Amino acid sequence: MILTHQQENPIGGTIPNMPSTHAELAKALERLLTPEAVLSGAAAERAYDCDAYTVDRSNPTAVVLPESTEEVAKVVRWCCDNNVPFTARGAGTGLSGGVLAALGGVVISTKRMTRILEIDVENCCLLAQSGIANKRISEAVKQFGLHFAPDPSSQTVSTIGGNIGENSGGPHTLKYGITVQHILGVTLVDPRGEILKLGGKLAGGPGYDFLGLIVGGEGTLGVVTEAWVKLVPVPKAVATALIAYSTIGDATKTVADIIAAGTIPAALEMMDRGILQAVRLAFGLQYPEGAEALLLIECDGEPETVASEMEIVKQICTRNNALEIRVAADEAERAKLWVARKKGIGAMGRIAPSIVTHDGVIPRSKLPEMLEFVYAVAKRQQIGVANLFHAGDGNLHPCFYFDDRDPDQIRRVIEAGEEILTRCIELGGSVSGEHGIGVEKIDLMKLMFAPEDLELQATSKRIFNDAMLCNPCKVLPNQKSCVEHQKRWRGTGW
Amino acid sequence: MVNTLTPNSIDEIAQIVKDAPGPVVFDAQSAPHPFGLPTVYRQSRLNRGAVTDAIGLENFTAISLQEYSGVIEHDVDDQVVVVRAGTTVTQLQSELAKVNQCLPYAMFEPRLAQATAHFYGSLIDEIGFNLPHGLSAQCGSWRDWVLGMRVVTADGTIAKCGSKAVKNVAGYDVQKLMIGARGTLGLIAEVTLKTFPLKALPKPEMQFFPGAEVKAANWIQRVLPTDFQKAVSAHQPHLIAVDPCSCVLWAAAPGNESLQRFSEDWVVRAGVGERNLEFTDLTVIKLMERAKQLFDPENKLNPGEMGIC
Repeated sequence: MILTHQQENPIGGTIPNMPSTHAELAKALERLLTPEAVLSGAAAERAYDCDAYTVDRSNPTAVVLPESTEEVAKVVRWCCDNNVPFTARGAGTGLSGGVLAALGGVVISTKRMTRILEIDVENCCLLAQSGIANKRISEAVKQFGLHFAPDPSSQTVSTIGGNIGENSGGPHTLKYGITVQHILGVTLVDPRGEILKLGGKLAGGPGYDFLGLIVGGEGTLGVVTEAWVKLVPVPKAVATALIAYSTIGDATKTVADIIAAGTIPAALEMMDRGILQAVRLAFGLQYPEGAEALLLIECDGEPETVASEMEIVKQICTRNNALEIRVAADEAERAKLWVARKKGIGAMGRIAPSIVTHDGVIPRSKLPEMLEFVYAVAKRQQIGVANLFHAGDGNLHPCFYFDDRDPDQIRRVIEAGEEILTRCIELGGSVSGEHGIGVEKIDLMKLMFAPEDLELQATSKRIFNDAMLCNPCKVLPNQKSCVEHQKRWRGTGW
Repeated sequence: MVNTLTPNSIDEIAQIVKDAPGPVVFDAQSAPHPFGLPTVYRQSRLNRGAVTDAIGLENFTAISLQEYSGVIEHDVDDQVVVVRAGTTVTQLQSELAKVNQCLPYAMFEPRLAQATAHFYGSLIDEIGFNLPHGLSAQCGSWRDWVLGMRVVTADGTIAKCGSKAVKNVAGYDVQKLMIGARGTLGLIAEVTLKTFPLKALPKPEMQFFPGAEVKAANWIQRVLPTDFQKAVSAHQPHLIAVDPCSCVLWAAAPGNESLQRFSEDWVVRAGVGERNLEFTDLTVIKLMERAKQLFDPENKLNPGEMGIC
């Protein structure tokens, strides 16, 4: 088989020692690591051709499974010497194509890098390899009454490395912040294969905030192989309520009133009827007749504070015509209330063969206006839509369901997404609150940022990455030799 | 010192930077920040040579943002404020208080103003220096509150970073690089900040020490929680304040003396010239130099201020 992607040399010039076939490349990597640490061939290409954003696909040439920082550095240096693009990959749960092997090349999977290297209970921090699943960190320190606060809905599988790349959020970001606030230091294999250690057990030291750039750098600034994460005490008490409304307006008004009252719940989530139906079908959860929207509100902290906060929340809900307020009596019931939220998107899978979850942000006060717009767009484009979102910070996730075997449906889904995100920008928001830009939203960057703004971002990227080998074609538009590849990724050629 | 220019629009700031024939130094109070590098070191850094090679001050262009202050826009319901960087924190807090909001930035009480004069600066200074405050463990710091910025780059371009959304992961977080960069990567002209309801503001747990009123802080240190009590005992006679939540100590170290260091700690100093900001990690120094080279190839903006060439 001829290696097509690498022959289009992405950075120009001649390629001296480039392996000429997939098999040769895989052999070279096997010699570099071990045969067991390299996957290649049709099955590997297929398994690693996309993440959870399935609209765009591109085959990697080979997949490596290193076990240490040194092995990652070895692979990166080899890629640099041979002019082969490389892309780091965690669990592949990303929603914007951030780990798509855009120009082919080597996928560096952190699947075997799951070790916890140090737990410092007294100083509330932990050092782990980047392939560890988010949830496993919290499980490992549960016995000490601690946990890792960021909890993206994918947390049972998504890795800390992936969370760092995307600066992931989750339902509890309203009170606890996003990933960047919980990362104290990283070990990074930079795009030239050098090992850098930035930060450590203590955050906030003097100097340029490189860590703040790497977190959310979507894997384009190097490969994070280890991370120091902050641990915080598990809240002593938690109260969770699920509130049903007969109109979306009442639910969004409740959100605004709670924030204005100075209460900061741990979570303030909203789901519309589309999600309710899916969850009812999938898990048999029942909701009151006539419910058009659900709010999931969680307060945590000291028992007295939680009780008084929940009382205020309930009063506000009642004042805004809540149909029903269901407060979890125990942990089992609490878990049940969360099912609708955490498994909501998964449940959509029963309704249609494919779903695309969008991720836009608007100022909180514009929520009702924005939701009407989403419904209108879906209707016009004749696609199904359900909404679930982090109402507390104005981060919405319209979820379109469709059939990806029909190119016209794909086209309409993409168009609808672009219309919605354009509206988010017009309302003073952002095209991504937590899923990242990846390849999915690269064209929208120009709507949000002027050329001089993008140039400043490109300058920041060049501190670490001034070539085209480390996770190319992501985040910034106008990257050389990426544009012509876009049609191929999409596979539809429209 | 040369005449200080006091622009009152962002376009004017950009024009000044663009037209400046030599280095541009800026701070809103047209006085060096207590924790900044003394001018003589800035000059020598600029020349990349010894202090004696320092170039004349007449070649400097000085900008003060004292005429560029005030709130541009405050969306009370969404708790987002856009403000000019010449505004002092005190001014901003009193504006926000009118609608029961605030920045959770715990400054020392005014009676301790001498100890921590830097708290009373304008946003360009406070964000540029990014020094610890009394609620950083509970409420975070500038990197958590700054949602976006408009900056003037070394070539006089006005560029935006971030957005007005309270949650945003679109693109690279350039604003984070600007925080704590002491104006060496770009001039922060406008800032978009997340505000907090006053009701939700926790009480700082800082402790003050005898004689705090008459001491000027020249040593700020953060240590690991396991070293905190040891550090408090070791620095006791010189302590002005400590925050047990973030394990930060503010002290007045006598003379040029260095106080005891602890594993993994970090320190920011005043009054010791080049050693005000001392980096020892070669990796970090190399990266910082590279960043400076890319953002400001002619070493024009606040040259030398970060202690790198």
